Amino acid sequence: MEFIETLSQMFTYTFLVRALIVGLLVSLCASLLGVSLVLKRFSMIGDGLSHVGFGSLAVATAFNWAPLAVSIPVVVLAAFLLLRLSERGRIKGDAAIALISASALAIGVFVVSKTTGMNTDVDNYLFGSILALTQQDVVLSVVLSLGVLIIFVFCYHRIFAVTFDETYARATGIPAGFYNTVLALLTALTIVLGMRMMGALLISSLVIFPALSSMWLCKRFAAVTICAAIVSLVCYVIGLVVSFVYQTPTGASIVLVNLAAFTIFYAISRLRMLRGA
Amino acid sequence: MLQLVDVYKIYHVGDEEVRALDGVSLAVGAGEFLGIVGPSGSGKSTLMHILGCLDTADFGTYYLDGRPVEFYSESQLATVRNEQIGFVFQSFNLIGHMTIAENVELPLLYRGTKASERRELVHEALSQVGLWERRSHRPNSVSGGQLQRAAIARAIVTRPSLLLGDEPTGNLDSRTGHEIMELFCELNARGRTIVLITHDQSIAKRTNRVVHIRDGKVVA
Repeated sequence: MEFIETLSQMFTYTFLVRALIVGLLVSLCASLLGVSLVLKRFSMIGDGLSHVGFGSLAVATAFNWAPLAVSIPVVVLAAFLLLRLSERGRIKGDAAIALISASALAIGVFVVSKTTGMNTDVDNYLFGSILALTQQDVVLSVVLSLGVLIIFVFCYHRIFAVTFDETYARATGIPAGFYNTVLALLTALTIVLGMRMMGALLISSLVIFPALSSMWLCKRFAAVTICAAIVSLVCYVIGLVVSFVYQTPTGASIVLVNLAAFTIFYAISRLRMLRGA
Repeated sequence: MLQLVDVYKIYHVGDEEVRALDGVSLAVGAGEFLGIVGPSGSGKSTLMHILGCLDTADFGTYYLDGRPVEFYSESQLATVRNEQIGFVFQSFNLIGHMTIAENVELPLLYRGTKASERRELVHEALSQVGLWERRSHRPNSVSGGQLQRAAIARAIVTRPSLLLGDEPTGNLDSRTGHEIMELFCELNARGRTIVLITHDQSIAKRTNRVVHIRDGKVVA
């Protein structure tokens, strides 16, 4: 009852309603994409892109440009670049991500220090703020999540093939490059939308944690995907409520709830193994 | 059925030019069972990629069923691979958490075949390779030979006109390798065109015709 009362109290604040809608939709997209990214060993792409997002937001703020208009194309471009570098470049995937990630962060910090200074805006970009969300974010989140869901439902088997065995997927006539590009594009958009709420340093947790937690308990791709989506949504709501009740930073609260879920799932899987042994 | 005319594939490693295929011409008739033999680095895998439409030649022409494929777009090549070619790899490429039947069913799922037809085709493919009884097993509970049989069933489940094998016996002991070759011979006897790439002469001898490749050239 107390929980319901807290929720209804939360819904009296417009910014919290926005945070709930955007957060749930971004969490759903991030968890669905996360399963493929983790299995393809692209987990750190989310982290790299969020740093690029920070750099672009810092530049946009410094020059007084619209944040999303700058960060969406920049992060999408970075996603394509990371994908190409991992596939064809001389620099291997993890090194390419580290290179781009550190450079973007440095550009952001440099631009900020030379212009607006390390003010509240920059702090919000790094660690997130639910106050930063606008009506435009709500609309974009709805459009993005619909896009991700439609692609997942209609291309499920193809995404599955590209995730598990790209060589065989190509051999059976699946344009793996196209699906990799779609995954990168959707990840970039998810990162940009979720970044201002979760923070550049924490947004990648929405991509990685739910998938990893689910993999402790589920073995099949469909089960892992559904479980990851549920875990992500539940953790988001709990994290948001914790943040509201205890006045803690939202992004950090959500990550800690995800960490708790990961630990519980790990413990359950170990118990199962011990009972089976 | 397929014909390569003066095909070149050139890679650049630093300043050095490596001719993986150096003017290869080759023809394979429908129903033929061809073995392509060559040592490591001879260009046989590049040849396999071009024959399987996984890659295109830099120069020369590749005719598949009389049509040149070098001007095909990536999506057209993907369609050719999906409809006409079945692949068998050295490392089986089966998905561990799925049963043998589910693995064999995958190419049909990718192309959107109806469930009833899928069941029929999976039954047919697994029966042909003698694995129907093992359909519910997972890859980690069957032998290496059975894994490769499952991979062959998956390659033929779409009824492709061409079956390509890239060192299909490479991960098997010699007795199991010859059993797999027996299966390829049976499939060929039923009219399927097969091209196998191997470095093992004893395996190649089981095919109807052997082509040797060395330094990117067909030498015999």
